[in-house]
Amino acid sequence: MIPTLRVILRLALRNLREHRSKTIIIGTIVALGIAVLVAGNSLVEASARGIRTSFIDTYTADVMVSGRTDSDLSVFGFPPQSFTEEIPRIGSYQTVFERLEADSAVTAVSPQLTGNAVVHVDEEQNEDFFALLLGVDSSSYTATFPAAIDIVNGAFPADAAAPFLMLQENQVELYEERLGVAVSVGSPVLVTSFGGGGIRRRELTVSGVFRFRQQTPGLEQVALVDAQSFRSLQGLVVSAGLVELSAAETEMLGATDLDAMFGSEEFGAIEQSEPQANLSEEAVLSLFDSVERVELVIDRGAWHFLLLRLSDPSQAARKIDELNTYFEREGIGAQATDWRDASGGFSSLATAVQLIFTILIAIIAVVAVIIITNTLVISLIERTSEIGTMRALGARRSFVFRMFVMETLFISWVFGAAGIVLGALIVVVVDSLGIRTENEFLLILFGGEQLTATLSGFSVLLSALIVTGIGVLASVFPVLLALRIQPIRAVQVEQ
Amino acid sequence: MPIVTLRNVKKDYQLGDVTVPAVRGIDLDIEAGDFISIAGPSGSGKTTILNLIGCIDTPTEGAVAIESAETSTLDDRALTDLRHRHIGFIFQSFNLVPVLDVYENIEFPLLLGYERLSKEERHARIEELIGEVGLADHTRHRPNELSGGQRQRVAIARALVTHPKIVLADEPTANLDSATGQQIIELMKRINAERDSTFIFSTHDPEIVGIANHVVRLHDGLITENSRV
Repeated sequence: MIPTLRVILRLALRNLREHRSKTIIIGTIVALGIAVLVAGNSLVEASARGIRTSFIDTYTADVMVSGRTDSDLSVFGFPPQSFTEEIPRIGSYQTVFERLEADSAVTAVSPQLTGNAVVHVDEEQNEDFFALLLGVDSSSYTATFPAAIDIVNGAFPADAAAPFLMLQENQVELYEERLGVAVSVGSPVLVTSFGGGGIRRRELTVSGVFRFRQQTPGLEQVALVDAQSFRSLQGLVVSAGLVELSAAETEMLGATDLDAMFGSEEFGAIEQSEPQANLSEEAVLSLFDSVERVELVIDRGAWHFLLLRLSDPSQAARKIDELNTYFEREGIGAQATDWRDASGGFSSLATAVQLIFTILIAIIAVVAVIIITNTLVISLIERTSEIGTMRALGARRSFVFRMFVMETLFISWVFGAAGIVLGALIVVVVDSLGIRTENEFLLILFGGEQLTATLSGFSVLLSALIVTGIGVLASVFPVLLALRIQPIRAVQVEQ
Repeated sequence: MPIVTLRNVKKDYQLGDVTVPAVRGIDLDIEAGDFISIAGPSGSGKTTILNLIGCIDTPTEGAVAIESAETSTLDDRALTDLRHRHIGFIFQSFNLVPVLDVYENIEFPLLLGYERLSKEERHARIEELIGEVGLADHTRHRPNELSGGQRQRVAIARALVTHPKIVLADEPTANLDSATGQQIIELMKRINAERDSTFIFSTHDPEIVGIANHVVRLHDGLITENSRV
């Protein structure tokens, strides 16, 4: 058996050398295809990893728990087409929260509220700025997203119950650029919200200016606000299972102006708070009987999301299944999803890039298979007499089969390996060039400001599998033709 | 007991809608050790007879038996095995494997997975044949570095390396000049005598026909003469 294999290998190698030009054509196609595959895969993987890390560390955490909905819900709310849809609150929030707090696999939990608002910076100037408000609990937020933001000015209030408004640095710069107004810590701004079936306006004081460490285009307008202020803006002072308030009641509770409280019965009437009379804790407390009651309502009340960090993020899918089963079994109006769903359309860009790349690879593979097959068939026609002679001398069909497969695999592997090396070089060069971008699309695509590419074992293994697949697939038709060559062809074709 | 028997063998070829009879009913017995010439003009059916005996083609009618084994009952694998074990081929166009050198071409049939010979046994057998055909100085030459006569000597050595009982040579001198052709036939005759192999060769050269001890003449697919010298 070994001498047979040796002669097959010898024939394969010498035939490849003998038909140098064909070998080079096929080899070049294979090598370039694999180089593109390795380099592209490394870039796509790095990009996907960048996007994933960026979103998990900054916005979504490992698992997002939300109220139950059939629509696409992310931590940024519903997509634009579902703009009017109200974000569902997590049902039985306290039960869910306690369940998660007791879960040893969950290392941090950050509750969050999401809503849209308009910021009016200068009373003298009639220009508003859109803001995506994230209502958070500052201590849970910083514990869950320790690497998300850098505070440029100011700070979260030391008192966890105190109201705050944290604006992004680029927004503050935009205000200054557009209005010539310097907004800084202590500046009052008017925030108008559209949630809760009405429009509410509150004056909030800027507590700090921050920047996200991973800038994401489209999310420049994110501002962080305390839950209490958020609820007051959104008419969302509701605790599942504790106190259910109607929208009208909520509006009334949010009002500090008696005229506004009694002057309008219309749903959606604009309520204007007095300047400096921003919604303080005292203002809310004055509407309730006791401090305890209010805290219970605020802290254990309506939340849109619970964002969870896991001790082992790779177990996110399992944890999501486990939580969804639990919610289902307990009849709780909540659902758990992964970072992809939680990031909304942003992760789909990574998926789209991967899809485009996969299609590109498929096209390259198909073209490679066609060219290799064609070249092999031509080579086979030229060697019909040789194969007929071998068959006449006693070579079985299996010998011919192995000879052809060996040739194709040899080309595929040798040039495939060259392609992997070339791809790896491209990866190293791209990485060392440190290509940076400020382009919004590329920022998302790169998963950060710099294009990084890391050669992964998976990408090399995938390339090796694909090149073997190309080799095998490309040799199927020629081999079938070769196996049909009868020994009489030895005397029918002139050499 | 004849080593090859043909009984009422017919072979038709289909050329489009036209059926061309190449062999039209032949009975022939070939004895072991014969040095038999199948002679006749072009189109008389010489090559077809050799192809049928060599089991690289099958008859349309009739039976071909090699050492009493009826070939029409054998499948492709069994026919391949039979060819390897019993028949050596010498082709008009030499049909050497271009990427193998002289030594490797001769060795090739021994590497097809039939014999379990050691490397030393193979080497001894090949060296003996190389010496016998006079190519000791050309062992590592490729076919394209050899003359026509030298190539045919390689083909003869390759045909003999498996120690076949039958050696078929289809017009082995057709692509050679007359002097070289004469040498090749004499070489075959010598080996036939030394090894007691049965040599069956086709030719249309009357001088070469005269060397054979058994002459079969064909015309239009029929035997017109079957004589032993």
